[in-house]
Amino acid sequence: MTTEMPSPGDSASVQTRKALANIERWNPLVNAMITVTADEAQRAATRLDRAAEEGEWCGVLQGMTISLKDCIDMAGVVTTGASKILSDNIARSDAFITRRLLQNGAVIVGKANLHEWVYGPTSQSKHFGPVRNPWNPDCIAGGSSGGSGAAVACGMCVGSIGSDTGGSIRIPASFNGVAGLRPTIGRISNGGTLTVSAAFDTVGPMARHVSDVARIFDAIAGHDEDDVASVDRPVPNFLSRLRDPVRGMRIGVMRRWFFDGLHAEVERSVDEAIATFRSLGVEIVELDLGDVERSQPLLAFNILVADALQVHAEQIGRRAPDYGEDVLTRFRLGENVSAVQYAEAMRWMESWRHRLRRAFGRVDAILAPTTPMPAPLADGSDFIESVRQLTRLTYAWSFAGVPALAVPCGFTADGLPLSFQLAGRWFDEPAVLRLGHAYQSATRHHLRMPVCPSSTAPRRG
Amino acid sequence: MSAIERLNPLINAVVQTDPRLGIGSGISGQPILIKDCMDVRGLPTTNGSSLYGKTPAESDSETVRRVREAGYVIVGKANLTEFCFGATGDNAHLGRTRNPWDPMRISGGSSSGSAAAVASGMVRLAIGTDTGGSVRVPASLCGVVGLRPTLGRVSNQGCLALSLLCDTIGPIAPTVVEVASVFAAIAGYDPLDPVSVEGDPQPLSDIDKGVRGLRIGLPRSFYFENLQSEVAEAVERAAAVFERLGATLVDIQLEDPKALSEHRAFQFVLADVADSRRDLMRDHREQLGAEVRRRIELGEQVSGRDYAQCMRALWRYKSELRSLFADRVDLLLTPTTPTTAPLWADSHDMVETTRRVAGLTYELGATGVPSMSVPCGLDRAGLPIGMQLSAAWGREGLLFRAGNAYQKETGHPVMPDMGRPGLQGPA
Repeated sequence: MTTEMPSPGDSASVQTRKALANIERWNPLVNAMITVTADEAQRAATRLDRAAEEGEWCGVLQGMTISLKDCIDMAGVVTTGASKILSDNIARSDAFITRRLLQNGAVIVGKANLHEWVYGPTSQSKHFGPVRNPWNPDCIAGGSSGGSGAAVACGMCVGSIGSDTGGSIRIPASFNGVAGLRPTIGRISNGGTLTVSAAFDTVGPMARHVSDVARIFDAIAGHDEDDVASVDRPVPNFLSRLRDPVRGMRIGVMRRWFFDGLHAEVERSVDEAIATFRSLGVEIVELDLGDVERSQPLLAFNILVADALQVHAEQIGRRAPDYGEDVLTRFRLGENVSAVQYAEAMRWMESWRHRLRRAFGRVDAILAPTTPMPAPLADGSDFIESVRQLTRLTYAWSFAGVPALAVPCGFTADGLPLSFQLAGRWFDEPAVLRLGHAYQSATRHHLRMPVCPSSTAPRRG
Repeated sequence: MSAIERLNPLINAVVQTDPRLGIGSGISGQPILIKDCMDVRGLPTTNGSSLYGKTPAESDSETVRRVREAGYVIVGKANLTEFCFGATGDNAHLGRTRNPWDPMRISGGSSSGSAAAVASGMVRLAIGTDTGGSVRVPASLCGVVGLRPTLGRVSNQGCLALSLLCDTIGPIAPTVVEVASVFAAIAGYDPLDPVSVEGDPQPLSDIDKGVRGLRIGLPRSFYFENLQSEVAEAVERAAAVFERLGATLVDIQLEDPKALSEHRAFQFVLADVADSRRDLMRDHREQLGAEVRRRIELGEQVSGRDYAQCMRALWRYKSELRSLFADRVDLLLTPTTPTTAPLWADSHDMVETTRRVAGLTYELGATGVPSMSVPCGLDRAGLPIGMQLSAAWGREGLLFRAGNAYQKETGHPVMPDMGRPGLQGPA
């Protein structure tokens, strides 16, 4: 049975109707949404359509249906963080970006499932149930923005706002076959969202089309003086140049490490993507960025586990049994980190950022696979090793604080999506969005849709 | 050079002079002294430790290169605390640097020799480094001007690293004008320094503009608490001078420094130093000075969770300063040190003394804003008092404007009489 996709070309009401229908059809299977705000969405859509009929411009999103990862506040709606502890946590006010979305004409359809406490790459949450992959429900959807990725893939919304600390937008974007942007640190406000690590958290848009990712980014980027990490720097007017030719732009590729040990179909599809960029007139430049292999262990185990524990320690002391075992184990890893180890990682970070500054003098973006494999099975025997592997390639860009855009670039023989990521200069989201849009203009991977096995009964567990 | 030969046996501010510059070698250009944690081609760099300095440095550090290019003549290397780590001016290997105003008292550190050499008149110019107060504290205790520039403004390439998040290099001199001139020579982007920032400092164009119309904030809580009364009075008098010159004084309350200090938020710097020196601590622990080793060991005991907490606290403080400088004030005025120079006899516990004398410099330094210590009087014992002026990131020019206006109005700082009777022989 085919899914009728909401399209940004539809009126707000039509788009909302399609999105809500897809939620009804798909959510029992993939469990992508925790809360559906159907009434508010329909009201907002009606209001937007009426305004449009009266000739009023309602903002750059023009009725786009959007879901929020359920770590982002929407006034009057519960923010659960997929945690039992927050299951009654009604938000008093909108997050900064929620306000910006609504001001720009978005229709918010609900809150997307995620890994408990935004703290894991699989979205196998204990209290709110696992998110299943729309392309194969036996596979994980990735995380922590797993619900956002799955919701966009099966048409529950055109766009979703995820959040990314070590890869939490890009990994589910990869596994669900959608585009996802981790912006520059400080570019988009985190005000009104749950914290993992104040220095590395950032929210960002996900959608099938890079052009929609770009529009959402345009709507929500900008300074928030109440967020200490927010950077006061103007957002350029770049949407009008999104379609500019990319001929003459330069993309760096580091074959060593970034292309080591890849699933064969990932390697093939990413190589094809590189060839596509070549055919668009992009110059491919070989790079060696040094000991990038240290990025994952240093950021994950010397910094993030300490940052996350610092946020949660007091609450864990009171309510440990209300945490899922997997996240509790991971939080407690932070107890073994010394400040000297933390300092070592900070020192490596400066050296890594320094190398990238120089590299970005030579290239406009750096291309790498997003994940070394397609979505693994949720109950696979190699699950633990998979988790370590699937976050291997995303940490480097988080550590640098640069923007990184995941773009779908094909499918395995079994029909699972594949993805590459483009990392850009600090605050140069326009460059990676332009390149990503040019790639999608030349390819059709992002147009393929998962098929809902609607006759099957909802799965359990 | 003759002043160094005459005074150094008492003060111990200079650890080596350039043998290529004998007396009467006919050098031209202003002499300048370099803290011995920066490479000067042909001279060993001891970093204040017995473990370094076995061979001469092969090339100049970036700052030394710029100093030479501007025509200054490097006369030698200044004493310092071992690994620049500690604010007393004691050094187990090179001997302590004594305060020219009273050799029984500490010079302050870690740029002890740089400040004491300038205060005693051995040289007019010196370069120090400042991680938590290491330029400003000895400048204050020795009665000279000392600048901590904006983080990333002066290249750290070729200089001993303590903490990438806090390390800076800055000039020391009797006058603000001289400090500004040296800063103009050494400031600027260096692609080889990972934390170097781009941008044109333009520090000198406004130096004679005065303070009329500038808003000077006095953060009453924390920075004006638990002070030696004469220090508080001297800084209030300096504030009155600024007001008389046309500045507007604004009483402000900064919430964060107090919380930061109470939660020992800057222990992350101790961990940074323990990380920077991890190889030495593993292989040569016993060859470190006992007090420095003890302080590094404190850094080894800090948890990662506490480091994370420090980072969050620091972000909040930066954010508070950002809005303060954006909306309410151009400059902050505080004391540099809460007391004048303590006696050596009261400073055996280096960790405790450092905590005390650097208590007002650590937090501001870690945010990366520029600060400058300017002498603003003497206490009843005749010891110098320093005020600390701070401005927004990149606004060293405002510090120079205010500091220069103050010195023009009040006269250049009094220097100690190094020929005075009774000032002989190591104390």
